[in-house]
Amino acid sequence: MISKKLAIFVLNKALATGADFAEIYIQEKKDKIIVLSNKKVDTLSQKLIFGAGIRLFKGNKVVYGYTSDISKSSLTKLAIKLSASFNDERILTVEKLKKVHNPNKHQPRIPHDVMNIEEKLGILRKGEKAIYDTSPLIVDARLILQEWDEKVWIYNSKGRFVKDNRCHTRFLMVPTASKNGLFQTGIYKKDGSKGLEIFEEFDMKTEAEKVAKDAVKMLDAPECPSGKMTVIIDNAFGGVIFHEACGHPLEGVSISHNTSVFAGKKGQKIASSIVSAVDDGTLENGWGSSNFDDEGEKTTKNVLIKNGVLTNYMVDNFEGRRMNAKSTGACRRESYKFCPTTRMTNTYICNGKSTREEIIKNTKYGLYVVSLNGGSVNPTTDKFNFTASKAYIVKDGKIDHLVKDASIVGYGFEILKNIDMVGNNLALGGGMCGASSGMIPANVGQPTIRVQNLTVGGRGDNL
Amino acid sequence: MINNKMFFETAKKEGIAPFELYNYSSTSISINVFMDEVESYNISNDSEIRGRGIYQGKLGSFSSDKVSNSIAKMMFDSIKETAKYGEEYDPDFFIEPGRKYHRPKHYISALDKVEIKEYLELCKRISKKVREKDKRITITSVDLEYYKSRKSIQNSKGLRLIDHRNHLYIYCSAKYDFQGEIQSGLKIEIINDMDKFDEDKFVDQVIEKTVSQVGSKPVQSGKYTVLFNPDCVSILLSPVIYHLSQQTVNKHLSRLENYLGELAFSKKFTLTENPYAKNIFGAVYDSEGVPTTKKVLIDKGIVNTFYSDLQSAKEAGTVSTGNAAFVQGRTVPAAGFCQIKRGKKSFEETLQYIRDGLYITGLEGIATGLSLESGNYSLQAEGYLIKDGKIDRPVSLITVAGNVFDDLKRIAVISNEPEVTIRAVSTPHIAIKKLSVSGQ
Repeated sequence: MISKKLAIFVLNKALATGADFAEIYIQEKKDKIIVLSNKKVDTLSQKLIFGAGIRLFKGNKVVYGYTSDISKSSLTKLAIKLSASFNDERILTVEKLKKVHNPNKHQPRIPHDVMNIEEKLGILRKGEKAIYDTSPLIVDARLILQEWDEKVWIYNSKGRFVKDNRCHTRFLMVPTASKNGLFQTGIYKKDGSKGLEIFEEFDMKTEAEKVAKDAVKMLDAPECPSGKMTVIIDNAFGGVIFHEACGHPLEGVSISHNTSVFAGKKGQKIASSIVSAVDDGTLENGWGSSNFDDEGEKTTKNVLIKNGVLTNYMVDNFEGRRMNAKSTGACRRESYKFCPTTRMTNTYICNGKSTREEIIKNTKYGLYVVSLNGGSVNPTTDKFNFTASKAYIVKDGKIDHLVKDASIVGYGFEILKNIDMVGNNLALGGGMCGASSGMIPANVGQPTIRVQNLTVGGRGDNL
Repeated sequence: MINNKMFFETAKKEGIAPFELYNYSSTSISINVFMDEVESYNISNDSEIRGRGIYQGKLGSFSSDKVSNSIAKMMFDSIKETAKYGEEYDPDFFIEPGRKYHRPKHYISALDKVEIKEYLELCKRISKKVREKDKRITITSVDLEYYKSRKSIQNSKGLRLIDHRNHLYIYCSAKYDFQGEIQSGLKIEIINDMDKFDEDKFVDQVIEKTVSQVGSKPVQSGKYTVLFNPDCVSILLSPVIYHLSQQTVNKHLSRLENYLGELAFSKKFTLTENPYAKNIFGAVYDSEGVPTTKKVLIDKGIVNTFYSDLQSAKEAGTVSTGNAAFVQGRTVPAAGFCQIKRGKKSFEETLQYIRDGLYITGLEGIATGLSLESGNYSLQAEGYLIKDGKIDRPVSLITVAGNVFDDLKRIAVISNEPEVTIRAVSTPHIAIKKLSVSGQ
C-alpha cells in the first residue's frame, strides 16, 4: 500500500538510533457483519480497519507504535518517535526490498462480493425459519454472518517485502428457548479462511433444527453432577481443551520468559504416549491459516508433541531471540493496533486408533462432552477451565442422559498424562482466541479423547 | 483533520437526514518492564470516524479507522446500502441541542504533566521491590499505560458534544517458584493522582496476591456458603445488568420482564447506576447525545426501572435513561458505572457471621462459563476456607456453580466495605447460601 521507496525511507529513519530490526505492517480490512435477531435485521454493519504498525527490536527490547494515517509524514514521525527509545549509532541500513512469494492456498471459491446483501439475508432467513419452526418454545433466533476481506503488507529491515490477501467467513446460529421464565441457548458454528462456499458444506435446515432442538432439550435437562470423573471429549471443537491446557503454555512468549510449566522441557515426555499434537498454519482454508504470519514469515506445520514427547514450541522472531530458536511462522495479531506475538493457528491432537463408540462402550461412568463453549488458562500455573455447551452422562458404556452447565478444571500437564484413549475421527472447529495481541481466528481440533480423573463442576448432586 | 462541513453537505445532497458524525481520536503510551529492564514500549495514535443517518426512512451507518475526507464516498455509499435493509427509524432519535448536561470531570490534567521517564522508573522500582521483598517470587513484569482521548458527536440538527478524558493504569504480574510449587498473581490499579499512588502498598498487594495461593488445594465437593470478593461479585452481576436492559425486556428475553415493581431478589440487594461517580467509568451523555441519569435499578430487591436508549424507551412507552451505546452499526442500551449498596458488617464480622464456608477471591472461565441469557454459571474458583469465622487455608482448583438470579435471592450477608472494580462496579463482599462446589 506504500511504495517500496517510502518503506525503505521509513525503515531507515527507524533504524537511525541503533535498532537491529525494523518492520512496517500495513493492514486494510473490510469487516462486514449481518445479524438477524428477533425476526428482523438486527445489525448490518460495515467497517474499514486501516492503518500501520511499526516495530523495532534492539536485543531483547521491542518498541511498537501504530497510526491510522499512512502518509509519509505520519509514518516518518512515528518512526522517529519510536527510534527515540534508543540512543546508539546506526548499525543497519536498508538498501532494497525483495518481494517474498508464497502461493495463496486459502483463496475463496465464492468471494463475498459475489452475492448481494439480499441474497445473503435469504440464506440466513432459511435458517431462521427452520429454528422457529422446530418448537414454539423458541423465543429468539440469532443468525450471524461475518465477512472479513483483508490485505496486509509487511516490509522489514531484512530486505523482505510480503503481501498477503486473506478472506475469512464465519456463520453462527444461536437459538434461545424459554419455558417458565427460564432461558437456554444452543450454538452452531461454521467458519474458514474461505468465502461463501461455507454454505455449501452443510444443510442449513438440518443444522438449524438440530441446534434449536438442543436449546429446547436443555430447558428440561438436569444439572450436571459435580466431582472427579472420567470425561470423554468429542472431536472438533473439543480440541479447545488442548488449546487452553497445553497450546497457550507452549507459545513462545510464555516459554521465553520462563512463565510456562513447559519451559525447558523440550525432548521430555510431557504427555501420554498415545498423544501427538500439531500447530499447522498451512492447513488449506483453515480458520487459523494464512500464507504468511503477521511478521511476514511463511506459515508452517509445526509438530509440538510426538508420541508424548515435547518436540517443539511455537516461536516468533522476537521471542526466538531469548529462546535461541527460529520462527515457526506463528506470529499473529488482531490488527495493526497490536504488537504481534506467538499465537496458535490451527492446533490439534492427531488421530489415534479407537472409535468413538469403543470409547463410550469402555466407560463405566463419566461425562461425554459433545461440544464446548470454550475456556481459558493461566499459562504460568497451567490451571485451565472450560465449559460444555452439550454434555451427557455415560453409564455402563451407554449414553444415558443430557445434563446442563458442566464445567471442567484441572492442570494442563496432568490432563496430557491422563489421556487414556484417542479416537480416529479427527475434526477441527473454529473459535476466536484472545491474548495480548488481540482476538484472532484459531482452529482447535482433535479426535474423540478420554481423560481420567477430571474435576467436573455443576449444580447437580455430588458424586 | 477532516472537513466536517463537507460531510454534512454531502449527506444532505445524498438525501441522508438527519445525519450524525462521530469523531474519535486518542493517543496512548504503554510500557512493559520485564524483570528490571524495559522490554517493550508502545505508542499509539488511534482514530475513528463514524457516520449514521436516515436514508429513505431507514437507518444506515458506517465506521472507519481511516479518518480523511477521501472516506466520504465509501461512508455515504455504505450508509445507503445498509439503510436499504435497516429498519424504519424515527428522526427524533437524532436529538436537538439544548439539553442539560453535568459538567464532565474525566480529564485529570496532572497526569498529562508526568514525564515518561518517571513512569519508566516507577515500573522498574516496582518490579525490583516485589522480588526483593519476597525472594520466592522469581519473575516480575510491570505494565503501565497512559491514555487520552477526544470524541465528538455532531448532528445535522445542530447538536455538538465534546468529551475529553484520560487515564493511567499500572499492572504487575509475578511468578512464585519455590520448592517445586508454582503460583502466579497479578494486581491492577487505576491511578488518578501520581502523588497519591502508594507504591509500597501496591508492591505489598502484588506479593499478597501472588503468595496467597501457596499450598492451596481443593475442598471436598458439597454445598457451601460462599463469600465473594468485590471482583467476583462484579463478574456475577453481568447477567442481572443484561436482563435490566429495556431492549432485552422488549424482546421478551429478560427474566425480569414481569418484575417491575415486584420483589425479584433478596431485600438486602440494592443496585444503582451512577454515571456521575468521580472515576474513569463516568459519562455525562450517551452515544445518542442524551444526558446520562443516576437511577436505582433494584431497590431492596424490587425491580425499580430498566435502562434504555431512545428506541427501546419509545417501544416501551417511556423516555430514554441516557444509556445508549454504539455497537456494530446501531445503538443498544448499555449500563454504565453501577453501585451495590453496602451492608452493615465489617469484613471480619462478615466472616464471623458465616462461621463455616468459602471465601472466593478469583473466578476464571467467565467468557464461556457464565451465561448472560440464563444466569447459570459454573466457574473455576480459588480463595480460602472459612472455619470458625476466620480465614483458614487457601483453596484452589474447585468450581463454583449457581444461577445468579436464584443466588441473589439467598444473600446471607453483605459487608460494609465497597470497592471499585475494573468492571465498572462498586460493590462490597456478598455471601450466598448453599452454593454447589466441586473439588475433591
